[in-house]
Amino acid sequence: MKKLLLPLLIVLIIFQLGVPAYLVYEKVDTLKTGAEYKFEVEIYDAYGAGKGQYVSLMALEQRRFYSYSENIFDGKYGIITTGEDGFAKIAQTVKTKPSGAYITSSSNGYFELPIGRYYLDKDLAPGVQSLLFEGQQKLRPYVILRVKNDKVVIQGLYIDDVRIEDYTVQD
Amino acid sequence: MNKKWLLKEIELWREEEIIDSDSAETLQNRYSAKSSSGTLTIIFSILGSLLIGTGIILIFAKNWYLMPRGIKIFLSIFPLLAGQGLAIFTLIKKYSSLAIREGVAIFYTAGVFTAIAMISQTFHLTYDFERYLLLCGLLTLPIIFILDAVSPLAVYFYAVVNWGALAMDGSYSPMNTFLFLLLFGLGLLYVFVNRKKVDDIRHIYTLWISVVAGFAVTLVFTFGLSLDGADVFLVCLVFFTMLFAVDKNRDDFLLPFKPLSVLGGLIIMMILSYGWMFDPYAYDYYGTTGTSMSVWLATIIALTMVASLFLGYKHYRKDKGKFLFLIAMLSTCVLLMAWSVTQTNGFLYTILINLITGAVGVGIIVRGVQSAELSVTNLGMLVTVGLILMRFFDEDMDVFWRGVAFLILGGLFLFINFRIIKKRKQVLNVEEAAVV
Repeated sequence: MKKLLLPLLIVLIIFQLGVPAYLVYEKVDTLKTGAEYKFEVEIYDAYGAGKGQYVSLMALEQRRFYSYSENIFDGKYGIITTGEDGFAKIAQTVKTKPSGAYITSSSNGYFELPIGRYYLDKDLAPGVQSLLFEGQQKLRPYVILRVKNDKVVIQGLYIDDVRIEDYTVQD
Repeated sequence: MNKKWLLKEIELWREEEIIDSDSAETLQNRYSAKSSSGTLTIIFSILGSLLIGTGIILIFAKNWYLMPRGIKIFLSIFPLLAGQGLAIFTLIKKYSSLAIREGVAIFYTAGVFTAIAMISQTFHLTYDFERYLLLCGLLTLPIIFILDAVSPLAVYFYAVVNWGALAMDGSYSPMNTFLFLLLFGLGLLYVFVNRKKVDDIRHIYTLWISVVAGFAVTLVFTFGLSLDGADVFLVCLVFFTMLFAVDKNRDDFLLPFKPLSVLGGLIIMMILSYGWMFDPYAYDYYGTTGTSMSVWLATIIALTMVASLFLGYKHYRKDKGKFLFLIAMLSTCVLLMAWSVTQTNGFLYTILINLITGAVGVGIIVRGVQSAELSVTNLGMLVTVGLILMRFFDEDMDVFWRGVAFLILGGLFLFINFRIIKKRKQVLNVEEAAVV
């Protein structure tokens, strides 16, 4: 029996390494070849035990969904359009995959944009919060999403076209 | 005798199939008892491995932000690589050491969870916690079987139950239900395969966590099926009834079946005694009327109750007190089922459940007194006094009727007391007559 265990372990190891390797490939590929969309966000601080220090994000498009006047909660796929201001909008949500550009919901029950948090160095995150607390209205932060089929990766969080990491260091 | 030589010989006997793996393990445990199989050694080994794993992650976290993505990815999978390396080493060189196997298994499991989480963090991936849990659970399960280690089982059950809760939240899907049961069943398979090793504390542990996970799975199902309050309690009570019935009437509390089923059953009966569960208006408020159970669920519940009665009779037919407790739980299940279908006469159901719970409390006290077991007497007192206190402060019941109920109960207690004293005197008289 023990003789069988080693080959089984080797197979398991291959699978276990294959999964993160595929995840990395998928994300890097999306970052390189995915379509680029800018989503305006609000930033608020959060700290989660086991999750580390990060800034929590709320896309303004998501906030629009939360208002009762908008009846576009339902549907797994959100059809993306780009507004005149250059920021992406969700024109409509549908239950079946649309033919054009779309973004897949990160939640089962209702449409939710996969923009929730942005991991930062633990010393920078609280600084970002206080920075935005003072002048969030003027700063207009946004994230750039890379979207390819069902895959979405956050390329970066920006304020005034400067990556948040560099912006905080400058500050 | 040289222990090292003997242990090597045992390993050879196993490889040459002179003895089977179980016998080899028993012999190896016996002759290396002090060095590897002590419970404390295993616990320290698990804790030590967890701390080392966490320490490595924390060291990586320092300057994480400054690192290029390539290094981040390598560091993310480093704990996994370390766990895999240690697992190979353990399999080849140290398989006979329980402490090493358990320690490596939990470190390896932490490596799996860490690698996937840190890669997600590197790409700022949000949520998708559901997929993460499923993935990590599936990648962890084989570690339990290959290293024959129980330490990752609790983590595996945690991942499966949480995944199930997220996947079935508000949306019933036959595929997810099947997968949920399959994944839970695969964890149970390890416990089942090792079911005869009751002298091994590790397997007692697996039984406890399996029962706790089983209850969590039951709860997830009730939420997934969007059951109403009374039906949720019915499913939970049927679970505890079955758990009580499968116990082979052991005298100790080593296995989880009896202690957890008695505790769970009593808590549910106490909650039901309030009666708000039998108020159809509570359900009207949410816009639902009638039972929330489907026919197939009702059939499964009925079959489980019949199986509980059968098993309970088999195990407790010579122990009237315990058999009556099973009957009390089953009667409460029947009442819940009947109410779920009719949804009328809530007051009558409340009275009946109070009577059953009260009888159970008094029954436990009597059993404790008769067997001179203080813990049993105290449990009975807790249930009875708890029930009295709950009714005393029950604002849904009219003060006058509360008073009448208390008078009747008080009279009943005094009557029972009178009968016990009378019986004791009779026994004393018989004993004295026998001495004379």
